[in-house]
Amino acid sequence: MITSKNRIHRRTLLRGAGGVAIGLPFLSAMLAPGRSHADESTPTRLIVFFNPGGTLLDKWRPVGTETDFTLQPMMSSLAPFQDKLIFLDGVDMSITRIGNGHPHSRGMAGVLTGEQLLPGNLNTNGGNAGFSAGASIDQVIAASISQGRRFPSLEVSAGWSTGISAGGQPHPGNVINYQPPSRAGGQATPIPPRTDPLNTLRSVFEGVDGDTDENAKLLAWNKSILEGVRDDYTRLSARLGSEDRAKVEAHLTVIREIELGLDQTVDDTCTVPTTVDPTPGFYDDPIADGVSRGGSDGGNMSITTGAKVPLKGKAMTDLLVTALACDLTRVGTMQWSDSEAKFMLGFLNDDTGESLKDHHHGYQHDRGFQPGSLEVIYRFYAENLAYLLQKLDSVQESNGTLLDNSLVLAVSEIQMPETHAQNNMPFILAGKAGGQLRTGRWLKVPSQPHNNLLVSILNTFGLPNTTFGHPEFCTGALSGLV
Amino acid sequence: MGGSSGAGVSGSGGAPAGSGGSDGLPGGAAGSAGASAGTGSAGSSATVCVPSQEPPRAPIRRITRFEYNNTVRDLLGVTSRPADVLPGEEAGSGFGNDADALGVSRLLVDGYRGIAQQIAKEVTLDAAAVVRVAGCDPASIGEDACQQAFISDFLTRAFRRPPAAEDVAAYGQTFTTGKTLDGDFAGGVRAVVERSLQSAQFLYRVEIGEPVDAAQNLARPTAHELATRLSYLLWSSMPDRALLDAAEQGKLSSSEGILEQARRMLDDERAKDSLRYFHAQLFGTGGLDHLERDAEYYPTFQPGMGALFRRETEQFLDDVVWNGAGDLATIFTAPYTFVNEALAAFYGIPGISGDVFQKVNLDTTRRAGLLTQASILTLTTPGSRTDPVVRGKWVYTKILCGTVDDPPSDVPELPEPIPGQSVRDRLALHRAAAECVGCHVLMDPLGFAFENYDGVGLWRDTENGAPIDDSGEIPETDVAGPINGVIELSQKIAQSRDVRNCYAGRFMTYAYGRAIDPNDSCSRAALETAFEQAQGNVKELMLAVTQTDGFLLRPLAAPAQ
Repeated sequence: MITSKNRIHRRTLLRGAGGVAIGLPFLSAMLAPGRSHADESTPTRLIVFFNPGGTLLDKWRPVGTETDFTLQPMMSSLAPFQDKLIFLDGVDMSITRIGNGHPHSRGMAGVLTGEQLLPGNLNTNGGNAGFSAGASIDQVIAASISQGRRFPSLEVSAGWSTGISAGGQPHPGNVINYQPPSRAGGQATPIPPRTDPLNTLRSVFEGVDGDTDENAKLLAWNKSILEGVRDDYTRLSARLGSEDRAKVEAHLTVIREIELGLDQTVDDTCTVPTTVDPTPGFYDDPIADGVSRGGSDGGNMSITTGAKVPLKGKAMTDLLVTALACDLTRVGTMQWSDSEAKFMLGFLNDDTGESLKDHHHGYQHDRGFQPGSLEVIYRFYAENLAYLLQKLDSVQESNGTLLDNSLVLAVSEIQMPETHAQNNMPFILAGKAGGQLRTGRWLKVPSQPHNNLLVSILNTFGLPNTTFGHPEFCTGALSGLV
Repeated sequence: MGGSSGAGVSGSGGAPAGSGGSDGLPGGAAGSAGASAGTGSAGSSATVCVPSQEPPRAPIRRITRFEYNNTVRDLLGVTSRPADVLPGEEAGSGFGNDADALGVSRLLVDGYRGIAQQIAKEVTLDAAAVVRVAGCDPASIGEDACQQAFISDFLTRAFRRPPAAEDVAAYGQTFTTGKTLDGDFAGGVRAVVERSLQSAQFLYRVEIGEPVDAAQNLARPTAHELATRLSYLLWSSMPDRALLDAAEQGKLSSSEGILEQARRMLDDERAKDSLRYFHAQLFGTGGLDHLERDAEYYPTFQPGMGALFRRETEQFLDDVVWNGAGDLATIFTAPYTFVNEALAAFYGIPGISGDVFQKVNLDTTRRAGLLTQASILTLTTPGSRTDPVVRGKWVYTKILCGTVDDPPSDVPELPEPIPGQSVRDRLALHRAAAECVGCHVLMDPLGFAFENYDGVGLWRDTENGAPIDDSGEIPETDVAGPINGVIELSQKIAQSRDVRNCYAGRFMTYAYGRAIDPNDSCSRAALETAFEQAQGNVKELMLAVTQTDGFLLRPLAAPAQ
């Protein structure tokens, strides 16, 4: 792992709960010379970027040919990375033709799983539903490539659990990441993203930087406690009936995962990001009012001002990229919002300089389809995808940048809001996946099922799948990609 | 009575399979799985007891964030509400305590670990703190003796039962490791606290039970398990010493003994907190604190008033239940409320000064009972205009236990109002369209009765210059029929046995920590009857639930061989 020109300072990872050190500025750490991976061991990482509500396809599509194209204004912030990305034009998220709940929720449940949304008792504003029938590719890939990392995967969000799904609980309309079902035929387990930057910082970077002896003691302490906790769950589990035992075992599995992560060591060059505001409550958004909304918003007083969303999104992106750069995990998801996206957008201005007066869903269809304002919103998300790519590209590894060694998958749950169409999805792939992807393309793959894309991504990470998700909506790997 | 779908009164009485939705999902999740699109169903007609061959379900329960906070307060004196940083509970049946809905994520377990570390440090900061937590002074009785006493006593309280010998040995090892690493006795205490707060025996309400009738798979909770059921039901926290003693002494072996303890416990402040939590979840008042309203529409509304609205309702409910008439009817009809100076000024009530909330009598032509409080009127107004659909749906689902399915996904939002048009006229579209009328005929007329209260709950006589028409209708229940205004609506609600049955069913769902199922019909029927006999007294309902089979019994756990 460590090349010879590096000072070999292997440090244990953990330190006291309150004691997150503030180190060098983010970039200097990331650009530090000799960051550690020998070529053959540089891992390929998967990063999912999710923006809600699809896009405006006519403004999303580049102009030109497959390899010689220009980005339209809405997407132009991605131009600096044009040779490192693929506009993937045409996959059909056909899995959403079946299943329960509203198309938004079916898209959320299916976009990374290729599976249908199962029945349940949660209101989706289009019939009740439960959760997806299958695991998401990020979790399948994490199980394969992220073993021994501190976190198999990290899921973060800037504006999660809004509208009818407000309250901070997993809901078919707000979850895209799923762990496999605990029993065959059952529902997959939804993974709620981390929503608080400061808590995420503490949890992810606990013990990074700081005194070596202190950290060694802390590691011994933490291992002892967790070993004890594991023992408590193991002994109890044996005494329970099968239903209760399954729950306790699920908890035990997570404890084991944390224990495994404790054994990971971190390079000296790994430095805690400094861009998270440490003021308690800084990222909390108050409840908003002032726009007349339909009853379908559901959650009473669930719509926030959204004022902190852009800051939170940047902080979460920084945290995720640093965690990947430090190899604390190899799989991440930046979920900007849930499918309702019901925080106010006053932080965005339209072309006349007026700030937006509604939430994203209001412009999608709650108060009629409003393409002018939507263009402003999708431009914002494109800019933030560009921010993620820029951060990844600024981390130098021994054989290219972190972006070169990653596969970034930018997705949404619908193609466009006016009709909730889910064919011709506006997906973008970025990064070269360690040289496996031919980028710099506008690749038209009309009508191939999106499950085929999921198969191809699994293949990119060395998994031999020939099918993924619901088999009736998959015909193999995506042709034309590699 | 009848099927579980279709408009009208459904047979939640018989609690037919698939009609679990009629027990309500007050957290925002809604709907009966059985109902077809475009219909709704109200009703909580009296439940019919159909004896079941199955023991009542008792899936293992994880403590909620609220319960965690209370438990560490009682166990360790920690009052900082550390569990507030944990992810929210899955919606389930609406109280955050639905055992079938709660899952475990890495985020949650990381959170438990983080707060356990923080608490363990906090309570062992200095020698005096260590003595408080340990319950003994190692300097006076010796470290070994104090360690032994601490582990045995602390685990009894943390696990809510005497620790098994192997627990004592295992935690003795943890103590020794902690003491070695930190170099002092406090380190041992810290390690034990940190481990125990993440333990399954602490985070889960573990029940093994003892057999009653093995052939029927029937068991009852052990004495300590019953003590835990009682304390989390009535206090949302761990048992106190007296309750653990009662368990030790076999005083919980009869339903009378349980009732005696329950009565004692209701006199404790913790019972008020617990019932407040239930009501906040049921009515949805918990989110009011951060409410903002558009000053253009509501110039007298100031940021922070949402918290006053919430406190008004809390103080009012506290007073009715614990000091006043005590019954559900009074909750809907009481001619008084509680305000402080700022809230009184907002309502236009003269003569109130100071920050302390005081009881005031109301002009009962305009206000009486819960439904006329700014809390309810505001939380049922999602925007800057009143929305009778939301208000009507709130009453229909929360108070009448009705269920309505979602609108079909292709239904457009109502058009923007024409200037001068009343909301009633605007909503006439609902009753003109065949795919809307099935549900909206149940909700909209309930909501129209609220039109005299604006979006922040202030009284108004006109809308857009035209006089308010407050006529409405209560849909199919034992008080169905036309009404004018919320005062009359509330009086009808106060008389309704269906409403009492609904409330009893909600409390039972909360108490059992799971959706009510058909096997619970006799427990539910008994609870409804007890609530009737107590004239709708809420405290008596809290006691009566401890006498139901679902509280007193459980299935026999069948460990893997």
